Amino acid sequence: MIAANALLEPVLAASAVALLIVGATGALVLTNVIKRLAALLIGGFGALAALAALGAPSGALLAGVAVLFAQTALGAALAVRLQEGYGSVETQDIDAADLEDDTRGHAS
Amino acid sequence: MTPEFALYAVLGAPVLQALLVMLVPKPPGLRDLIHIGFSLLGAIAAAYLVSAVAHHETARIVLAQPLPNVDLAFTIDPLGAMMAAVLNGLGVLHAVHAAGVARAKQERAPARLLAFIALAMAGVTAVAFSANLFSLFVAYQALALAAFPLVAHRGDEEARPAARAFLATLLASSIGLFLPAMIWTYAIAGALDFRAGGMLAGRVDALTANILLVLYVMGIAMAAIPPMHRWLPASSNGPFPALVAIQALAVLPAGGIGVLKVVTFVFGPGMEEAALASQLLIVLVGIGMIVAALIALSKQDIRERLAYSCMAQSLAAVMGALLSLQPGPFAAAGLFAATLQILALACAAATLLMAAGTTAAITGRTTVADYAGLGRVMPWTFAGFAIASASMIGMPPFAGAWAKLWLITAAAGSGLVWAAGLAAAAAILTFTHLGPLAANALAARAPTDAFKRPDGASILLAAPVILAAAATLSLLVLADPLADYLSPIWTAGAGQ
Amino acid sequence: MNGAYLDLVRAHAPLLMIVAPLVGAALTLVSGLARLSWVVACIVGGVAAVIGIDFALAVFSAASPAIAEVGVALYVDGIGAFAGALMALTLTFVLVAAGATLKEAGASAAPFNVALLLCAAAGWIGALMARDLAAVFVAVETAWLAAVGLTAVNAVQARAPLNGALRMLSLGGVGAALMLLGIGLLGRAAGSFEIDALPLAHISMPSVAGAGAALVLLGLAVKAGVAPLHAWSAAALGRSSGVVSFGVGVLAVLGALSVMTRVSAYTITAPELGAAISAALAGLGAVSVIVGSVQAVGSTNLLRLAAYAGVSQAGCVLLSVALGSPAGFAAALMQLVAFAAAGLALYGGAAAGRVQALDRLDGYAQRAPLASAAITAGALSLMGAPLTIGFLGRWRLVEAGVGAGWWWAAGLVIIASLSGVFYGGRLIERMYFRRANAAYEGEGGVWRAALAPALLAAIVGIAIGVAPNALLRAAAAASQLLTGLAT
Repeated sequence: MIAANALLEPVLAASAVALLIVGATGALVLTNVIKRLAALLIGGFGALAALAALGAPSGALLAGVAVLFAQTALGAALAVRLQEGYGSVETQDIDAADLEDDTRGHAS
Repeated sequence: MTPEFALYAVLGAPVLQALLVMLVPKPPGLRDLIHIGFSLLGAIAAAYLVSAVAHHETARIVLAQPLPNVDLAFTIDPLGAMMAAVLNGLGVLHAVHAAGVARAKQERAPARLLAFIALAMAGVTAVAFSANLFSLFVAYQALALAAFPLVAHRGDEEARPAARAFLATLLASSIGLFLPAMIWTYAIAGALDFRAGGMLAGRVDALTANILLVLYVMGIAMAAIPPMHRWLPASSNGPFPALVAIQALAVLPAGGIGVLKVVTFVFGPGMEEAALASQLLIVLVGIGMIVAALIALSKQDIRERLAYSCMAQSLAAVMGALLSLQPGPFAAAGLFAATLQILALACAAATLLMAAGTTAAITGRTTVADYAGLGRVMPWTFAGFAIASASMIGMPPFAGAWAKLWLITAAAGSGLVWAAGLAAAAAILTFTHLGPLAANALAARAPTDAFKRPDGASILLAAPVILAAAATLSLLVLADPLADYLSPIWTAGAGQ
Repeated sequence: MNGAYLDLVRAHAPLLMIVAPLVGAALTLVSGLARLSWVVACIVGGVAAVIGIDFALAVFSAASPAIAEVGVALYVDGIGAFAGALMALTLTFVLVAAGATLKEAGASAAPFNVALLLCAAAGWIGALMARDLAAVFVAVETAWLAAVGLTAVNAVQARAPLNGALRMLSLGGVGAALMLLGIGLLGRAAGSFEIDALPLAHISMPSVAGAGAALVLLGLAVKAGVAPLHAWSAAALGRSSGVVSFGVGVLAVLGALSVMTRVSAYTITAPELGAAISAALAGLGAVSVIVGSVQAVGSTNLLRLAAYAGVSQAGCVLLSVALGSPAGFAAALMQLVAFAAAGLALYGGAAAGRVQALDRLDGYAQRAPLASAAITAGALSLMGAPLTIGFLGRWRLVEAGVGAGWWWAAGLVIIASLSGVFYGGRLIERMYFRRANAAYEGEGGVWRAALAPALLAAIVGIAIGVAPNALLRAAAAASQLLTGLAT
C-alpha cells in the first residue's frame, strides 16, 4: 500500500504537468478565443494539481483557485468585448483587422 | 580675476550667449551685439588663462561627480589654454562674420544659428580644458549634439539625411569605440584623470596598448580619420557660418585636440608598447591625407572642396600625434607638430571658409569655376583666401609651413621617412586643389556681373577674413615661444 | 500625539504601502466621479509614496540596517524597500499624469482606470514584500489582471488594445500556470515555500529546484515584457491611450522587473542554484537587449518604439541581476530608476499630444515644448548620454561586469546605447528640425497641466545623473542588505 502510494505521487505530478503543458500549448496556439480560455483553465487546473501533488500548503492551492477564477471571469468579459469590437473571436480575423487599422492610420 | 573664475567664464559665457541670443532674436542689432560681445568675453577669459598658465598658476573646477573616482572636471594646462585662446580668438572674428553673412543672405532662423554656433564653441572649449577622459567624453558628446542643429539648419531634403549621418557617425563611434576604451582604461588604471607622461605608462602590455590606441583614435571620429570621416562631407551642405564652426573652429579641431590629449596624457610620448598600432594608423592617416586631397581636387563646389582639404589637414595633426608614440628623442617633435598643425588649420580653414562665405553672400557664387577673377573685384577677401591657401599648402612663412616642417622632422627623426613622404605628397596635392584656385581668382579677368549687392562686401564680411589671414602669419614670430610654453606637456612629471 | 501616530505609521509602513492603494481603489470606485476619483487616487498615491520613501530612508540610513519582518506575511529586504519606494513614487506620478488623459475612455470609465492603477501598484508592492512564494504569486497575478483590465477598459478610441489585452491574458495565464508549477517544484526541493529560506535551505534535488526557479522567473519574464516573451507589448501599447501607456508600459513592466530582481536575488544566492539561474538570466538578458534594440530601431510608432526600448532596458536589468554580486544588484536597481524615469518621459510626452505614429512628431517642439523636452530627456537617457541616469545605470553594469570578467556584457550595453542613438536621434530630429504637420490634440484647458509634474519629474529623474550620490548609496545599501552583508 505504501509502495503504491509512493508510486502514485510522481504519476499524479507527471499527469498534472502534462495537463499543464496541454493547456499552455492550447492557450498559445489555438485561434479561437473561447477555446484559448478553456485551454488556460485546463492549464491552470494542471498547475494546481501539480502543486497539490508536490505537497504545497492549502493556502497556496486556494490562492491558485482564486487567481484562476479571476482570470476566467476577465477572459470571458474580454471575449464579449472582442466580439463587439471585431465581430469575431478568431485571432486571425482580429490580427488582420488590426493590420488594416494600422495601414489606414498611416495613410490618413 | 582668478584662474578659476576665468575657467568658469570661458566655459559658461558661450552657454549664456546662446541662451540670450535665443531669448533676444530681435532686433538683429542687439542680437548680434550680444553674440559678438560674449564671444569677446570668452576670448578675453581664454587669453587670461594662457597668461595664468605661463605664470605657473593652476585651476581645477568640478561641475559634477557622477561616479566615485570620476569627476566632470576641467583644468588649465598649456595645451588646453593655447587651443582655447586661439579658437576663441578666431571665434570673435567668426562671430562678426556670421552676423554679417546672416544679414547679407537673410539666413532663416539666424538666432538659432548663432546660438548653436556659441554652444559648439562651448563644446570645443570644454574639450580643450577637460581634466580627465570622462570630461573629454562628455564634452565631445555635447559638442556633437550642439553641432547637429548646425548641419540640420536648412531643414530641407538635403539637410536632414546629412544631419542624421553627422550625428550617427559621431555618436556611434564615440559610444561604440571611445566609450569601451575609456571603460577598459578605467579598469586598468582605476581612475580617468589625465597624467603627464601617460596614465597607462608601465601598466599595459603591447596587445592591450595597441588595441586601446586603435579604439581611441577611431572613436574620436571628429578627427575625420577614415572610415569615420563621413560626417565631414555630409556637413558641407550647411550655411557658411555653420561650416566655419564645424570645420575650422569647433568640431574638426576638437577631434585633433582629443587625439592629442589621449596620446599625451593617456599613453604618454614614446610609448613603445603602442608603436605597432601607431605605425599602422600612420599609414592609414597618410593614405587618407592623399586620398582626401585628391577628392578635393575633383570637387567643383567650394564647400565640398574645402571640406576635404580640411580633412587632409586634420589628418596631418593626427599623424603628428601618432608620431609622438614612436620611441626616441623625437616624440616631443610629433606633439609639437600636431599642436602647430591644429592651430594652423584653425586659422587657415576659418579664413578660407569665411572668404567663401563672403563670396557666396555678395556674389552668390559657390563653384570653383565661378571664382575666376573675383579677386580683382574683392581684393581684401581674396588676399585672405590666398594667404590661407598658402598656409594650408605649407608654404613659408605661413603657419602651415612650420607645422609641416615639424611633422617631417618628427617623422624622419623617428625613422619613419615614408611618413614624411606621405605628408609631403599630401602637401603637393593640397597645392593642386588650392593653388590654382587662389591664383585664378587673383589673376584672371574680373567678371563684369560679379555682385548681387551693389555695395559689395560690408566691413563685417571683409575684415574678419583679413584678420584671420593675419593670424596665419603669426606663427612666424610665435613658434619658439610656443615651444617653450608647451614644453611642460611632454616633460613627464610636470603639468597635471 | 502626532508623534505617536507618526511612529505607528512608521512601524507598519510596509503594510500601509500595500493597503493604502487598495483602500484608495475602493474609495475611487465609490466616489463615482471622474475628477473626484482622480484626486482621491493622487492623494492616496502620494501618501503611499511618502511612507515608502520614509521607510526606505530609515532602512538604508540606519547604523545597523536590518531586514524588516512584519508578522509572518511580509519580509522586506533591501530590494523590497528600494523598489517598493520606487513603485509608490512612480505610481504617484502615473496617477498625476493620468489626470490629463482620464477622459479618453469616457468619464464613466475614469474611476475604474484609477482603481485598476491602484490595484496594480498594490499588487506589485505586495509581491516585493511578501514572504511566502504563494503570496508573491497572488500579488503578481492581481497586479497583472488589473493591468489586463486597464488595457481592455481603455479600448474605446481604438480596438487594438483589446487584442493586446487578449495577448496579455493568454501569455500571462500561461506564465501564471508555469509560475505556480515552479513554486511547487521549488518549495518541494527546498523544503520551504518562504523566499528568505532559499539561500540557506538544504536543497535535496538541485535540478528540480533549478527547474522550479526557472519556471517562476519565466512567468515573471512574460509580465516584464522580456524578449522573446514580449509578444503582448506591441499590441497592448501600440495604439493605447495615455493611461494604458503609464499603467502597463511603465508601472507593470517596472513592477515585474522589480519582482524578478528580488526573486532572482534569493535564487542566485542559493549555492546549488546560482550558476544555472545566472546563466539563464544572462541569456535572456542578452536576447532581450538585442531583440529590443533592433525592433526599436525599425519601429514607426512612437509607443511601440518606447515599448521596445523598454524591452532592451529590461535586458540590461537582467544582465545586471545575472552577475549575482552586490555590485550587480545595485546596478540593476539604478537601471530600474532609469527605466521608470525614461518611461514616464517618453509615454508622458506622447500622451500630451496624443502622438502615436512617429510622423506625428514632426515639429512637436513648436506645439508642445515641455512634452518635447521630456521626450528628448528620455531619448538621451536611452542613448546612455553622459550625465543622465541612463548612462549611470549602464556604467554601473559595465563596471560590475568587467569586474566579474563579463566583457561581453559591456558589448551588449554598447549595442543598447548605439541603437538608442539611432532611434533617439530620430525622435529629436523630427521634433526640432521638421515643420509641424498637425495641430495639437492633447487635452484642453487646465487639465493639460496635469502632465507637467510627471514630465518635470521625468526630466529631473533623468538629470539625477549629474549628482547621483544619494541614489548610488541607497542602491548599494539595498543590495548589501539583501545579500546578507549588513551587520
